[in-house]
Amino acid sequence: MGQIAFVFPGQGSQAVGMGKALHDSSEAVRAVFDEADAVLGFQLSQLCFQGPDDQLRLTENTQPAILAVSTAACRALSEAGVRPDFVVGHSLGEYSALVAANSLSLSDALRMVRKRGMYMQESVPVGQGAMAAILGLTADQVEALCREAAQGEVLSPANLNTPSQIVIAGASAAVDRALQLAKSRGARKAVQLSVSAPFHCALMQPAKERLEKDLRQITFGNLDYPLINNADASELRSGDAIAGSLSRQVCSPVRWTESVQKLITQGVKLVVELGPGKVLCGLIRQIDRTVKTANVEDPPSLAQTLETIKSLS
Amino acid sequence: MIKIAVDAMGGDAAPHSEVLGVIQAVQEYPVGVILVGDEGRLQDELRRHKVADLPIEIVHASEVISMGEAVSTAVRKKKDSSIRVAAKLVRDGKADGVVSAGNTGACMAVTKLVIGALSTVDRPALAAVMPTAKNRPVVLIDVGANVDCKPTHLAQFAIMGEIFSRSVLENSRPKVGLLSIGEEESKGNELTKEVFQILKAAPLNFVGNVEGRDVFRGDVDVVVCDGFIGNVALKLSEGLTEMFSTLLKKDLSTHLSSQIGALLSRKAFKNFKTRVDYSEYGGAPLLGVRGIVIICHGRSPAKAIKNAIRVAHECCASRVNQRIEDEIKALSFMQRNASANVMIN
Repeated sequence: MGQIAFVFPGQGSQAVGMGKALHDSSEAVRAVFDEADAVLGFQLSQLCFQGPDDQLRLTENTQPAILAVSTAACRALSEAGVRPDFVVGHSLGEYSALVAANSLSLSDALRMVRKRGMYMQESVPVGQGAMAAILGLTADQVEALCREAAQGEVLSPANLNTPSQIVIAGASAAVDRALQLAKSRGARKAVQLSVSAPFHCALMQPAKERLEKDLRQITFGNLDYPLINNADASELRSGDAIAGSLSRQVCSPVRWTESVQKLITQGVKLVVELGPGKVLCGLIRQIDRTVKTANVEDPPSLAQTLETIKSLS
Repeated sequence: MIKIAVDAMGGDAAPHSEVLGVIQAVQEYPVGVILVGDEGRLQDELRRHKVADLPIEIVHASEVISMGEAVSTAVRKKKDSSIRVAAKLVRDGKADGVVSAGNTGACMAVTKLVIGALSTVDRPALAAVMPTAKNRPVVLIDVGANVDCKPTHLAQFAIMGEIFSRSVLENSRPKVGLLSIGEEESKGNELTKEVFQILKAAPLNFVGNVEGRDVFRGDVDVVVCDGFIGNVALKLSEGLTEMFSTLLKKDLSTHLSSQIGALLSRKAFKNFKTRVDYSEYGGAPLLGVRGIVIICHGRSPAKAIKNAIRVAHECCASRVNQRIEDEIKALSFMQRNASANVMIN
C-alpha cells in the first residue's frame, strides 16, 4: 500500500530566487541546473535565481524553469533516501513527475517543455483567448455555465483544481460572458486570470499537433513509480502510454481533484510538493483535509519534510 | 528644512493672498517657501511686509494658466507657467512640495506630468477634506483625478486616504468606508462590489459600505469612491451649501425682527462658519505623486494658503509618500498571492 506521493506544480508558482538555496546546498542538485543550462544553451539557472521577472514569466522560460527546480527538489529528497509510492504532476508538472519516475530523461523533458511552452503560446494570438477562475460552483455547474456562455465559441473547464475552484479557458469574449453570468449562477467569485494564452482547451489544438510529432521522437521508459495522469486521472505504469497521455493533456482539462482523490483511495497518507511554492498543498487540503501535506523548495522545507516523514513511520 | 514651492499666480486674488499666506506660514511653522511667479510683482508684494529674515525665496515664471483655460493646451503650450515651474522645483529636488490655488485641472495634469506618480501607485487621486457633524474631518477620495477606475485603483485610493488621515489629521486608526448605495455587502455596482472584497481583505479598518448621507455624519474618517462619483458628490454638496446660505441670508434680512435675531445670534453664526470653513484644511491633497501637492480653492484667502503650507509640511514631516509606497506594495503583494493560489498550466 502506497503511503507517500510526490506532486509537482505547474505554471503559477514561479518566483525569482527559486532553487537558489537548494543549488547552493548540494552537489547532486547543482548537477540538475548544470544539465539544464547545457541542454537549453542559455543560463536557465541565472534566470531562476536572479530573474528578471518579466523574462521568467514568459511561458517558454517558465516551464523549463519550474521543471528544473522541481527536479532539483526531487533529487535533494532522493539523496535523503525518500522514495515515492505515487507521482502526480499538475499540467507541466506531469513532465517533472515522469522525470522523477525515471520514465523521461531530464534533458528530453527540458527540451520538450520549452517547446510545449512555445507551441502553446503560438497557438492563439495574444488577446484572443483568456482564462478565469470560478469559485464556489461544482464541476457540473461550471460545465453548464460554459455551455451557456459559449455561444458557439470555445469555452470549457481547463483545471479542475478543487471541488470548488475550477479554471475555465476559451475565446476572450466567451470568458467575458461567463464572468458576467457566473455570479447570477451562484459563483462565490469569478476572476479573470492574467495569462498569456488559454491553456487546456480546444484552442490549443495546433500546439497539440506540433507536440505530438516531437513526442514520437522520444522513448519513454516504464515508470519506477505509478503516475496518476491529468487527462484521465488513471494510473499509468507503462512507458508506451505516456506519449498519448501527454499530448491529450494539452487540449483537455487537468483532472486534479479526481487525481488527488485517487491517491487517497490508494492509501496515500502524505503528499510532498516538490518545486517552487505551496500552491498544490493548498489545493490538496481543500480536496481532502485528512491527508498530510509537506513541501520541498529549499533546505529548511526539506528538513521539515524529513521530520514529517519520520513521524509517519 | 522642508521647503514648499508656492504657485503665487494661480488664485483669484493672486499674488496678494498667496504672499500673505506664505508670510504667515513661515512665521508659524518651521518651513521654507519658494514663491513662484512674476518676480517684479512678487517683490512689490513682499516689500509691503517685513520679510527680511524670513525663509522666503522667489523663482521667476513668466506665464500663468488662468482659471478658464483649456487644460490640455495650457499644459502643452505654457512651458513657463508658474505651476509648471513650481512642479519642476519638486522634480529637481529643490522643493518638497507644491501648493497652488490655480486651475485645479491644470494643477493635477502638470504635477502628474512633471513630477510623476510614486512607483507603486497606479493613479494619483485628489482627496477632499471636509467638515462633519462630529467635528472631525472626513477625507473623500477621489474627487476628480480619475473619471474611470478599476477596483485596484480604488483600493489604492483607500490606502492613500487612510495614510493621510492617520498622518495629517491624526486619527490613530481611521475608519474607512466605501461609498455605495446601501450598507450590505451585496449593494452597489460591479466596481464597488469588487472593491469591497479587496478592502475586506486589506490591512485597513474597513467598516463596509457607506451611503451618501453618511459622509457628513462623522462616523467614518475616509470615504472611498471613483473620481466621477466623488466630483459629483463634492459639487452637489457645495451647491447645496450655497443654496442654504443664499436662502438664509434672504430670509434673515426680510423682517426687522429676524434682522435683530440674526444680530443677536452673530456669535453662533461666526462659530458655525469656522466649523464649516474649508480654509481650515487649506486644500485638497493630490496623493500618490512623487512629491506633496496641495491644490487650493481659487478663492482661497491667505489663511487657506497658510494652512495648505502647514498640511504640505506635515505630509513631508510624517513621510506620507514613503508610507504610501510601502503599504501599496504590501497590498499588491497580498493580491498577487491570492491569485497565485490558482494553478493553470
